[in-house]
Amino acid sequence: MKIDPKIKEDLKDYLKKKLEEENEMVTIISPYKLEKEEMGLIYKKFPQYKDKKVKNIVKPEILGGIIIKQGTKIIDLSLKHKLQSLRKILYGNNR
Amino acid sequence: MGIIDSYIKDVEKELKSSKSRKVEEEVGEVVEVKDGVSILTGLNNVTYGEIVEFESGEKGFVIDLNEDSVGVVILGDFLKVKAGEMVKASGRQVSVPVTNEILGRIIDGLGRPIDGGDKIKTDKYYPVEKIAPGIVYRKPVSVPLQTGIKAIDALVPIGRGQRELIIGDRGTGKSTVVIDTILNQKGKDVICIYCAIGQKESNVAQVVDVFKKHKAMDYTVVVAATASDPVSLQYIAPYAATAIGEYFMDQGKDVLVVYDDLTKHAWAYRQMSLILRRPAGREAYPGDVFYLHSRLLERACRLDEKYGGGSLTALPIIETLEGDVSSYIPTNVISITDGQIYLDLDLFNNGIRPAINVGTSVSRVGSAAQAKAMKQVASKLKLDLAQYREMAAFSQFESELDEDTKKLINRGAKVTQVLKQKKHVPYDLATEVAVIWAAIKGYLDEVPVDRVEEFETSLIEDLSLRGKSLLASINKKKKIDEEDEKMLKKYVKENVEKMELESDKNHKS
Repeated sequence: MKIDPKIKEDLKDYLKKKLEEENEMVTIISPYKLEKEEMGLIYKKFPQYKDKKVKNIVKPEILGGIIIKQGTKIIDLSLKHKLQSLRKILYGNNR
Repeated sequence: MGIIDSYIKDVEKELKSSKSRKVEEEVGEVVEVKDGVSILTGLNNVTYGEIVEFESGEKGFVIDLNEDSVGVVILGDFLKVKAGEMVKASGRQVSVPVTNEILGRIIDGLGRPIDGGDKIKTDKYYPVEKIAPGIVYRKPVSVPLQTGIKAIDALVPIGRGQRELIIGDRGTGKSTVVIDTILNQKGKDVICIYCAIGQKESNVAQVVDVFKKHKAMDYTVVVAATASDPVSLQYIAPYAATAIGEYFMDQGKDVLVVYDDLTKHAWAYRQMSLILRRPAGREAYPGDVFYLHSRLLERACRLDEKYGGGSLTALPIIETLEGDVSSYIPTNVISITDGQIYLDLDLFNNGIRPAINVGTSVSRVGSAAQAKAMKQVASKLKLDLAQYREMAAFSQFESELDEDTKKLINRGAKVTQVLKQKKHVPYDLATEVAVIWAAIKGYLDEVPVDRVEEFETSLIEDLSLRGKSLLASINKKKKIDEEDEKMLKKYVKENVEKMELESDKNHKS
């Protein structure tokens, strides 16, 4: 079946827009569902995310703290990450 | 218990210092893992050559940037990397730690020690890939780099800052030539870097053992990526070795870097390229295999005094198959370098070692980088050898030759004998000059071919005992004047006579 080039273009544009939106979207990973006040605290610390679309994902394995994700950028403030870096310090870099 | 206390204090300090910093990191995800390379998504803001860290602890560097994916070469065990794993960009380019303490160490392509010693402690890192110094920074090569091998120093002299290719079949003594050159740099203010690429671990251990035996490790760094290392490390190793060399060159020192060998480096790069699905060209090498070696060897240079005045000499090694110098990689590297030393399997089997083929070996820098004393004897030597080669074809019909031709052939045979040298015994300039002088002045014409070696040992022994001041004066002045020649003549004559006496005695008894 031949697809109309115009539809193809439209589809491409739509995909591009969708991808951009996805890149713009901010994901906050936390060990439990965040309350409104807690979100407020996060916005206070990171005002750049205030007007963005924010999604909250629950992942208990990060133990504590939060991970903020936007596109391919990440700010890792989780307890798991801290413990991992502590392990690195303890074992040294000689490994 | 003091140890535990200090540990706890350290941990407390670390915990206090690493306050929750909010650093933004660039991340991606592993989609595909192939032999040694992996394809990632995400990582929208990485640059070419950047180091990325896998969640599993392995590291890699970016070598392919596509529209929606990133190709990464894994430095280490690729079997540990799993699909779906998170990958962080580090923001650093591939670099090696550099310090003066690195001398005497054995490291891999990333500067990690593999001699069982401690980590190299430094806060200075040099990028592995660097653009070669431009024309303004350079100066013509003029200072000789003595290899300690008579045949090379006399016929294909190498200068500091030159790139001289060593090419030949397997087992023709290519590595021996460069190892002897390194051994000869003792006390000559030259930092040596031996870079082993794709060699057997046992071979590298052997080379290190030779260095240690001759106390050459004090001024040498060994960068090794052996056959069992991942190809990515084999690919990086020569660039890392050059980066370490550049560190010393920037201090105004003279550096010698040996790449043993670049054929295997090209193989490693070919493997990587094929797995990354880059289009294959001649002999399945990718299109940029010329640039692979040219950008490496271009980094060899002699810097102008205004810019520090250091130098970096490169001695790449290429292994040929059945003497075929016209295949892809050999022709590439021949055209990049400033000359080549061709080692011939036939010569090697005929007992002429080092098996340097005098006819096909050239040095494009030439006698500009030769000590005066060597120049004085080398021109006659070249002439003798050239005439000998021309006449050698007739030597089967020796009886029908006239006296002059016979003389030429006899001289040529002696000179060829004199250019032989045992391995791992490099000569200093004066000894080289003295031996060659004896041959070109015709004092060996009466000595039988099979006893030339004997004469050489007895002359060297004699010179080292009685002629110490003569050798010292030639080494210092770097030329032979009439007085030296008189002295030399005395020693040479006495030794020739001594040998004749011995042979007479043997005949009578």
